[in-house]
Amino acid sequence: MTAVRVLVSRLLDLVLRRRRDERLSEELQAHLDMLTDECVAAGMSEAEARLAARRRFGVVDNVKADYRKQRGLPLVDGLWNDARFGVRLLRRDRAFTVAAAFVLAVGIGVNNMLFTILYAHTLRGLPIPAAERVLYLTTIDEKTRDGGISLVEFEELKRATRSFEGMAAFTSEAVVIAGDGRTPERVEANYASGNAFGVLGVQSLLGRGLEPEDDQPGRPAVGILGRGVWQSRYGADPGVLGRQILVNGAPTTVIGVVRDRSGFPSTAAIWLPLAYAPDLSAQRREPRTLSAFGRLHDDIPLQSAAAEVDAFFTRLSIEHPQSNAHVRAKTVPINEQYFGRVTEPAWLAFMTAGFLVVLISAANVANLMLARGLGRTREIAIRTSLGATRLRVFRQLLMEGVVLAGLGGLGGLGVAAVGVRLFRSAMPENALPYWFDYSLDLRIVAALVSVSVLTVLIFAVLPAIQVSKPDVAHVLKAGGRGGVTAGTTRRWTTGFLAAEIALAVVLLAGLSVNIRTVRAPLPSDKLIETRAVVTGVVSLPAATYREPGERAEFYRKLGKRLQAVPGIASTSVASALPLSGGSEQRLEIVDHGDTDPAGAPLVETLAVGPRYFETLGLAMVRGREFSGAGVNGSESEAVVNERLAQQFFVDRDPIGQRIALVAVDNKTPTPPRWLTIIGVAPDVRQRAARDPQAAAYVLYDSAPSPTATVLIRGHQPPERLTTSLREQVQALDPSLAVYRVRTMRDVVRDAGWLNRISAALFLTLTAISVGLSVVGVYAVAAHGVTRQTHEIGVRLALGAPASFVVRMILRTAFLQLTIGFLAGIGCTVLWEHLFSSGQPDVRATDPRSLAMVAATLVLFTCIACALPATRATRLDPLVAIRHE
Amino acid sequence: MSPPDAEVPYGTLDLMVLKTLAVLSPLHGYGIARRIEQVAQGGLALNQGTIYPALLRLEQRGWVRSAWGTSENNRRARFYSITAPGRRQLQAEAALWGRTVSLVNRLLEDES
Repeated sequence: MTAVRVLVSRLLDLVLRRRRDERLSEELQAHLDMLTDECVAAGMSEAEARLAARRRFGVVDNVKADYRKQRGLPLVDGLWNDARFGVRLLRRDRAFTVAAAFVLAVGIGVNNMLFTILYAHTLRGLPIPAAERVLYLTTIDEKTRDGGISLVEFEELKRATRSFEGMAAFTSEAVVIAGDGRTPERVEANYASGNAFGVLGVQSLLGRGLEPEDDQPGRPAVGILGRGVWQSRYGADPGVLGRQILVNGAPTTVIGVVRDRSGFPSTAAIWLPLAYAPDLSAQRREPRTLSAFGRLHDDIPLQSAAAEVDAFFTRLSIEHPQSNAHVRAKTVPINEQYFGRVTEPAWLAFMTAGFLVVLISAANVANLMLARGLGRTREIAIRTSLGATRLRVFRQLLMEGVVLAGLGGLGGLGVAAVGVRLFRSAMPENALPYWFDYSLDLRIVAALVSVSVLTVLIFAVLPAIQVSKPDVAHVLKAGGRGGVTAGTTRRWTTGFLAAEIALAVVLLAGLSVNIRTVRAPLPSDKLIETRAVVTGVVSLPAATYREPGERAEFYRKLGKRLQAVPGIASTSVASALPLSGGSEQRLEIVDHGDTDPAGAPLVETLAVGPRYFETLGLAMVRGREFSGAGVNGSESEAVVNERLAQQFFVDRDPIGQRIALVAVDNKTPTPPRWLTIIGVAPDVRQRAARDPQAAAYVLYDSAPSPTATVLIRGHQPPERLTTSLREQVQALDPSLAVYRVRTMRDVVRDAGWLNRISAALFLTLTAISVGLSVVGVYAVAAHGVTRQTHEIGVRLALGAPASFVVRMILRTAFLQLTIGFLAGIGCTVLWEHLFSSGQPDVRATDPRSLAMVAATLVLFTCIACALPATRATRLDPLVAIRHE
Repeated sequence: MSPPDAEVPYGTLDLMVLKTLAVLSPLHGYGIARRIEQVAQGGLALNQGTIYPALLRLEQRGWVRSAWGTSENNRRARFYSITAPGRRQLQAEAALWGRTVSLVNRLLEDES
């Protein structure tokens, strides 16, 4: 207790130093005056009295020193003094300070930017109170996929378990909102059980959230708007509360608005009671369309709750073998469900790259510190000979490092902010749900500070150990020039530089893999990236378009209407756009012998309307595409892409061949429907990250799914085409909405963002690390020339040719390069071992990659050495010899 | 065997200051020093300045507190007074001191 008081008082002293110093002086002066008064009263003269007073008081300065020793914290005081001294030195040596702080800021900033991204995707968690007490509940089947849970199971689970304070379920569905005097809009709806808001702790912005009463059958339908749609559709009008709108045609009263960052793991624009969810059966155990989560009672450990849920599903699998035989429970904390794990290899590799950059920058500054320390040998020797202990000198050097790291950390904060902003702006709008939040918070700052401390350990502590131990006598005798320590320092410098190069090799090797796996461009890539084609998705509700024929009829009519609009050159429809995925089916070929359907190869299958390729602006390679819809026999036609033709019809003309496409999970085998190939289409990339696969196209009419994308090519600006599309859809059916309206150029850009960002990020990282290493090589070479000026002068004077001097410099540089390169190969092997990329065909350690890396490094080393070497050969021997 | 200018025994200055303040609070540094010298009746060589570090120690521990005031001859001075924890501490220390002294005395008597 007393010890704490003393500490607090001492800490206060640090702050109030000046005031307390003044107080002491005044107090002592008063004391002396009183003593003097006493002596005068005893009959002394004024001067005698003053002397006597001082004698009896003791030495004032000793008293003050004693007093100070007890005050404040001597260690902190000392460090504070060292830091102030450090700041003075750094200000004097401005070029060094700016260079070192800049290098550190880049390293720390890049590291922090990567951490911010990593943190947003893994550790941040949903913005809900006590999220670790909320478990996500679902089922997994034999394929260990997230299988969801059915309403029946959910209700039974709720009754059967005691671990949970509350358990809620939800499902997402697209709905059309209308009936408010605006054009119908298709938005994502979240049907949630009445207690879902309560369990998560979701706060409403306006009005109220869902309540358990809302979720009873027979209650008036209510809905809660997300802030986004409230602003975009209703102009943030608070009067929307109590208003009735139509959701999928059903009157619904708006009762509240929730924040954008609601805490609910959903990007929904409107929340509706679960009781209104379509196709929700209160009797059947399948299909499992709900997601569920529950908040634990305070005293229940996670494991016992998970065990309880497990036991429940085990019981179900016995009681209901038809539906639940292979279904097991899966319970995870809700944040693990919606966020990645830091321990995933991709994230580990990501963060390792971040640390490589910081290590390189710290090693770079370490070399700068060593070079600077060498210039200060004399200063340090003098201080040591005057009685400074090695620890004292070390502390002084360390504090300089702390000040530098502080500057670097501050700069790094700025670099990270800019980096994160660039990263975000490269992403399409709404590419990520709100809970991947990149904003700065305390933990990110804490990470930045820790990394800054780490850099101090590398760039300040290690050099300080070296610099603080000069051989005093030797240094003073040698007139302050390097002396014995220079040799050791050179070894350290080489070590740091080699480490830098090694780390750069790891990143360069990674980059060479990236470059080599980059996809060869396809002729279609450029053609489809156009603003002349507008696309939009139309979804036909099952209630009004029950039969496939009705759906086919709708798209046929829409096509005819669009075709008639002036300015529209061509229109078509597709199950999936280029770069937007597709479904895989098994390919069977007539006369191919192999009749085992499970062994048949997988091919991408797309359903497209007539004139699909024409609308995209692609010419057929051979044959023709689907002609007019409704033509008899066109349902049994197929188009394949070049890759499929090359893969499966090597020695035959594919046109006229017959193939069949079978669903992958074909549970009830039906005889294959044979299709005749009528044309070969150019390869079109269906997925951004992959080269095109073998693909087959079937006519849309033969398998019209409820949701399809309409494409229009026209001579008008995209906005006009969009309007025409909307008008024609509305004219056919006023209750329908067109959504995800984009030009093909947008489609391409949206699909490629992830690749683009990761490529840019990796390139930047590598460029920074290689750049830093080159600067490091340059700095060391330049410093070497300065140090060896005398020697070079002598050699030149004795007739050594310039080439000899150049060789001398290059020899050192390449020695460092070789050590670094070899170490780098070791690290790369380790890297590949730890984070294998799943691309076994291209390895970072194969000879071609390594040759690329080596060539790059040799080139950059030569560039880095060019300037110092030129300077060395131009030295005037007479001046150089006299150089001290 | 007892020179008139004996050193202040180690660690006893704090106790003396505390005791002085227990009798005469509030008192300024000069007053404390004078009082100790008076009680010692010239048997102690006190560098009056040394009581200031002692006062700081006591204040940091919360055993005394201080405030500016005016001395009897109208000088601005800092006045120290003992606190309740200070009185408890004084009792404890005084008891300890008493025990220590009697122990040392007994030892010395034994030997003689």
